[in-house]
Amino acid sequence: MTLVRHYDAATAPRGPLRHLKSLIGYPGLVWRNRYMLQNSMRRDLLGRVHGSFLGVYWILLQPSFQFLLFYFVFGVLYRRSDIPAADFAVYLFSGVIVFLSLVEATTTCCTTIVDNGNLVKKVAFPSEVLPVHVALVSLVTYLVGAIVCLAVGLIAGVLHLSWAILALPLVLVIQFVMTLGLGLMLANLYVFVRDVGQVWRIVGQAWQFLTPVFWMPKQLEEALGPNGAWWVAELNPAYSLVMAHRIALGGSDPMLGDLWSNIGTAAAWATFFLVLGYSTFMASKHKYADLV
Amino acid sequence: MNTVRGIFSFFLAPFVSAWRRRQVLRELSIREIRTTFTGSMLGVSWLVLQPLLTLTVYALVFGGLLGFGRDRGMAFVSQMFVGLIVFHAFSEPVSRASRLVVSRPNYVTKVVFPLDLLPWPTVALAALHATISTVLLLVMHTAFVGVPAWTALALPLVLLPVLLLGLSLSWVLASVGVYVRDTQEVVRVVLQLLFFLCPVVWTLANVENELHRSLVLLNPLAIAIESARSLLTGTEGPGALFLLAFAAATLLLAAIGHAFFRRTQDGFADVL
Repeated sequence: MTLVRHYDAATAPRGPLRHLKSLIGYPGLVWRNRYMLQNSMRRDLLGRVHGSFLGVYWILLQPSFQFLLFYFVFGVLYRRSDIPAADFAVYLFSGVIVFLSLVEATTTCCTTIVDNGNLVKKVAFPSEVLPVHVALVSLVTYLVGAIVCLAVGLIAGVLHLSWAILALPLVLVIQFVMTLGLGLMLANLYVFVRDVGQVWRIVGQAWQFLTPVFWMPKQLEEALGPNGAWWVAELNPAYSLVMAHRIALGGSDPMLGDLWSNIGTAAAWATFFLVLGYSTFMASKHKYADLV
Repeated sequence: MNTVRGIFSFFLAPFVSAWRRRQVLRELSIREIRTTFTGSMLGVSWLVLQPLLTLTVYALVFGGLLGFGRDRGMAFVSQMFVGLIVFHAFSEPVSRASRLVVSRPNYVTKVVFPLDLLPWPTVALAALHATISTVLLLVMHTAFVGVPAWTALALPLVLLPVLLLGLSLSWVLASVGVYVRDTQEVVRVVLQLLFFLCPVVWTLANVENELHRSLVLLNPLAIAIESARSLLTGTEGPGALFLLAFAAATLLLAAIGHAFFRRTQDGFADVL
């Protein structure tokens, strides 16, 4: 292993995508830092439940409460006559858990470089690993919610277990990559412009409303009429992701679309965000030490 | 005579203690506002920009893209924004209350500091947010929906009690947060759930069942949100007597919260 890398401005690659070559080595880098990731994940997850009366059950109770609440508010109180209460509650919940983990993780990623200033200033520390554990933790919170959703959906007869559930790990990988890509991008921007934190909070909210989390695609078609531009909604990067999650969990409504085309679109978006996030991050990484 | 004076001083205690240290309070509040925006390029202008952007986003999403028709869409946006203003006036101070004392151990152990002042700046910031958002709301309502009813002038009468409610809960949580460390996590989750339990993204008008209606109205925030909505649109809502009763109830709660904090604050130094 060479300890000293020679830099030559004349032969060094140029252009905004010059860091893409090192993207191939990214998984290896993450793997080499797995013990650190493991530790920080454990600290993060246990820290939430440490010392509470309910302990680990707290993690499970929270989504359960949330589901009951959705059932009560949107199924019983604010009832739509054409959709059964349980169906709508499951639909809503399966979308909210995806979005909550996505938005929570990306919001945390905003400050992750600045918060870990002492690590970033160490030359030997690869700061591009920092958002990885945030994205992983968000997957864990999603999985707990998904288990609750699956259990309730199966009992209520809304969800039907099918082979599609085997695609869930793939969908999770896509969500991980998308979260990571966005996280890298935001973490990088936040170092230079702190206003990004404020902006992202609003953008995240808008994004959630524009994604079929609280509404169904067929409602949009009804509202806009047959000639309406409802397909614009499908251009949303999160659209396919949310739908793929719903199908994998056993939703069988035709409005959810096709599993593989959803996975394909979501994967394309995720790759785009990863390339964008990673290349911008690596391009300005050398400036972090002075700015945090 | 003594009991009357006792009752009086009990009610006024939270405000007397704040009034006496108003200079400290002003410094704390200014610092609170400054630190919220330190490092950001646009600085304090975010105070206005943030609600403005949020409102624009809602207008675009619900008034435009998700198209409920222009008029109905904007009316929906205004209804929703009222809900958000009231909810945030409550949730902002409450969400930070449990860390108020814990994050400042020096104030407890090193110096003599009137700890019961700590929740005030967060409430002041929330009040500022609420004021700015309300002004923006009124402008938007006038532009897209129609001139608000004159009863909209009474909106502060709804917002003030909500802020007081947040203040009283902040005292309780600030104290509990010292003794029970996972208060922060519990509060975060409860607020998340409360958001959906309050008629923010839905309105009481869509709830048909009478029993469900009265269940929703057990929640003081739901009462406040629905009152604010009817004040804005001039539909028949709560009477003046009701608003007074609501304000009196929150005053009582503030006094109780403050007394609770004063009672329990002696033990802080041992725990921190």
